[in-house]
Amino acid sequence: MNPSLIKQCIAGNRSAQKELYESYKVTLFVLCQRYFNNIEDANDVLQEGFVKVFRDLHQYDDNKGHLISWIKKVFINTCLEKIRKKKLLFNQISESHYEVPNDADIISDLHLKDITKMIQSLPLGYRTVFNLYVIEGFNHQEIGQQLGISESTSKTQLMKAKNMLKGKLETILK
Amino acid sequence: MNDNHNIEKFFRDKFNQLIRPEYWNTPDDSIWENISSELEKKGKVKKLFHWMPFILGACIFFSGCLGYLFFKQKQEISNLETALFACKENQESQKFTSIDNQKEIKKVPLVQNIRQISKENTASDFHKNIPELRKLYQEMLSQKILRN
Repeated sequence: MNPSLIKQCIAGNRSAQKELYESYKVTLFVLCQRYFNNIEDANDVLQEGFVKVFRDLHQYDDNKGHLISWIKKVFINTCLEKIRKKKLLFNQISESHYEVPNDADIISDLHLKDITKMIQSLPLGYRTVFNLYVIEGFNHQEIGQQLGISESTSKTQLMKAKNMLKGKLETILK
Repeated sequence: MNDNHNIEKFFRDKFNQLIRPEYWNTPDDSIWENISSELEKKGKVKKLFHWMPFILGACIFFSGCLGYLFFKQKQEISNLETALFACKENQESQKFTSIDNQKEIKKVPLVQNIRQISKENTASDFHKNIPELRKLYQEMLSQKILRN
């Protein structure tokens, strides 16, 4: 990312901010949809996340990594805040709470959209731990701290999530 | 997909690849409009915070001025009250006895004036007669009635 664009964004230049938004909106929309299986929540987090990014952009240090990594961290925290607000995290694990995606959509080709649908079909607790551990690369201790759960709960949730996804993939790839 | 490790790798690889917009639904245009208006609001609040020290400084200055004026007025009322009290006492003790006639002539109308004001007004509406009392107070000072 062009350093002068970042400076302009910090200075509050709206067109520079829009340029940055346009560059990352799809990547971050995918991230939001991995955590939330309804579009309204994903849109809310996308909006809230970008406002935070523009508000705190002066804190970004380019020596510590790429801009997108920093932005992703802001978005992950925003997602987790929303999940914590919902207070549903580990209550939502009964089978009736998640929808199994229509196989016809998935079997055609395993595009990212389909993979995301599979993740979205997981209960919120499984999905959050899976996203944080597998995709974001957090360890169980960090996940426990972020979500206010024990390490062993995090491990159990991950194992159940992986078993569920494994079952779905096996069905598709048969 | 025989083991859990492969599942992790499968999903990680899928999401770490470049996401092309054509393979994904883009967010609604209204999102940017909302972000923009939210930033606008935050900008206004930020500007207000920028001016806050000056606004606070001005408030402190004006309240300080008002406080000083109030204090000064209070002090003046207190002085006048003291003068009135002293005058009453003087009148009782000096009643035409040891004072020469010239001084007496000057003091009598003044003391009478103050007594009149004192009778007509209670302590609470004393301040209404401040200009009149101030004038009497100055006269009393010039005639050295208070120093007696």
